[in-house]
Amino acid sequence: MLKLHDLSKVFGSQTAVKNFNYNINLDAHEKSCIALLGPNGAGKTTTLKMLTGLIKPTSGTIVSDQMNGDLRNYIGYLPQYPSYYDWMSANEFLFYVGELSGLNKNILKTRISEVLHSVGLKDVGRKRIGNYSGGMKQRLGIAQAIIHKPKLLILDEPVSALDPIGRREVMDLLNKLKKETTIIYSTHVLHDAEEISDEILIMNKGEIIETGSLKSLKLKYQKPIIYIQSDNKIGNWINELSYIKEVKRESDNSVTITIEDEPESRTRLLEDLIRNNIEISKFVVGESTLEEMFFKVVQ
Amino acid sequence: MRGIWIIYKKEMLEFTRSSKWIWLPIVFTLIGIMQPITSYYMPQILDAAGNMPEGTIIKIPTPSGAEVLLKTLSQYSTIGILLIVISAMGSISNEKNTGSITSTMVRPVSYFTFFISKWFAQVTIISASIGIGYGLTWYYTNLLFSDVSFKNFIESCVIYFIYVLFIISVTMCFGSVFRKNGAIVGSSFLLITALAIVNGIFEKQMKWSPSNLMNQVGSILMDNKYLDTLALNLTSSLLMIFGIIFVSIFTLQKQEL
Amino acid sequence: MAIDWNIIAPILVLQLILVVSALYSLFKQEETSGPKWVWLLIILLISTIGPIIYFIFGRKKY
Repeated sequence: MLKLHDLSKVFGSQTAVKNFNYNINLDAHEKSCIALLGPNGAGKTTTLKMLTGLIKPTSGTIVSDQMNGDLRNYIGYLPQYPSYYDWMSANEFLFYVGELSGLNKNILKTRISEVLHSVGLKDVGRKRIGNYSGGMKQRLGIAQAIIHKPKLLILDEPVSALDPIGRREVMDLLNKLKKETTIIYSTHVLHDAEEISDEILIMNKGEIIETGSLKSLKLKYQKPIIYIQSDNKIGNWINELSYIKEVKRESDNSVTITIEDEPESRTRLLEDLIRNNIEISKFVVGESTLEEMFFKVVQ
Repeated sequence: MRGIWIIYKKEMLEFTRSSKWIWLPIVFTLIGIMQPITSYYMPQILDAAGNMPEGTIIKIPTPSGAEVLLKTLSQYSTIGILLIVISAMGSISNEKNTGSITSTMVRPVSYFTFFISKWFAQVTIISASIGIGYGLTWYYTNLLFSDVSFKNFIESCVIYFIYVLFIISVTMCFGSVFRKNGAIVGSSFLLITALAIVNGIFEKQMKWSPSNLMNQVGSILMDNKYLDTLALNLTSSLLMIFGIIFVSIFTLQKQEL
Repeated sequence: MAIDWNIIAPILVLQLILVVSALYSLFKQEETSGPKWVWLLIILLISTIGPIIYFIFGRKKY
């Protein structure tokens, strides 16, 4: 378990992250893949950098019962804008970072070919990094992050700069990797979070605003919504109804309402509409999604 | 310790790849050996330049070997300083600018390790280049002019080396503070030349200054003895070098990546 | 006093090495800062300093 307790980070007068409390499960049998989701400027990168030790929290602690000494021994990190030495070959670079992580030469040699194989760069291991394409560099970035078999893999926007093909490759790779290690990655695209993560952590303005498994969050935000359009004016009485959660007024004679997820609420609503002499011209039943909730947050 | 060696090896590989191991020693050698050779052929050069009335007798006193060697060192402390500063300027700042520094700093590596291994790498290539250049100059000087003893050659070389350490440290310190290479070169060169100029004017008050080491070198070559303030000069220079290194590491640590 | 080529030769050799290695690097380079032919002229025409300036400022990567 890696416990992030009340982390906060202030840059000058700007608070990038505050009151960040979260526990990351590192147990071998309970590996999880966590997506840190939020709009740009939500504090995702700052949070991940605090995890890597590249920046120090203004307050709060990061402690673990499974990691002793330098946490960086157990962490693999792919920055948002990775930059490696252009004049090195992938082999040389992986050798360099592997040695820094304390691996010995012989182990490292087999490990490098293993890692290059799994990211699909085996044939170009001798090529200079300067000649790599964006997708290849990103895969090399993942290779350097996993070379020392970290307990926790931290990826900052691993797919956002890639074209669809590169994105697919990296996503497939992460799907494979999540069986081996706990992954936390940031993204501002909900779809990327839904695709491979088991847990979603939504951040906005430096704070966690929602956490939970993908399933539970989807369920939580899957509420029946009803769109009503009438020929006459819909009065404010509609806001007072007990089974209604939220009313969004589109115009004088149209509203979108979110109701309790019970079968009888819909019938009760219809009854109430008739009792109030509403001349219904449209009654559309739909469902809200996590996407809408996220969209609201982003705005 | 292991980390220092690993980063040091990486730096050496970069010097090789960037041909620095070729051009830096060659430049220092050329600057160095030009001095004895042009001094030696000065009469012919003047003759060839022409425009002298028929029958003009060119009489230039032949300089001593020590004078020639000293001239080389004074070249080394003008153009040489610029070369040293240029060599060391990007060592830290380039990694910060490209972001490649993070791939090292997410590993269990301290800023001390990071800085000091790069410092040693710069010291290695620069002092090797100067050593080769100065060594060959000494050889030429002995060949063409009066002998300078091996002892004086080595001692002048060692003292100049301390001055070089100071220049490298200053440059890398500015490299930790600034990001732009222009700012790094400008401020390093300005600080070092300003120190040398002040040293020239207030020689009595500046006995502690690293730039005063050049006067020590002059004294050992010309008069075969040190100025009596050598101990003070060396101690204060070394302390300043340690101080500058400390400040650099502290600055790096405070900047967050 | 005739010019002794034994003394001059090392300078010429060093300058040659400098020029050749700069040219080699220039031709291998995919992209230089500024047009390649300008660097070619600088390396060939300005002795000693030309190749050095190229090594310091000419390359985007090596």
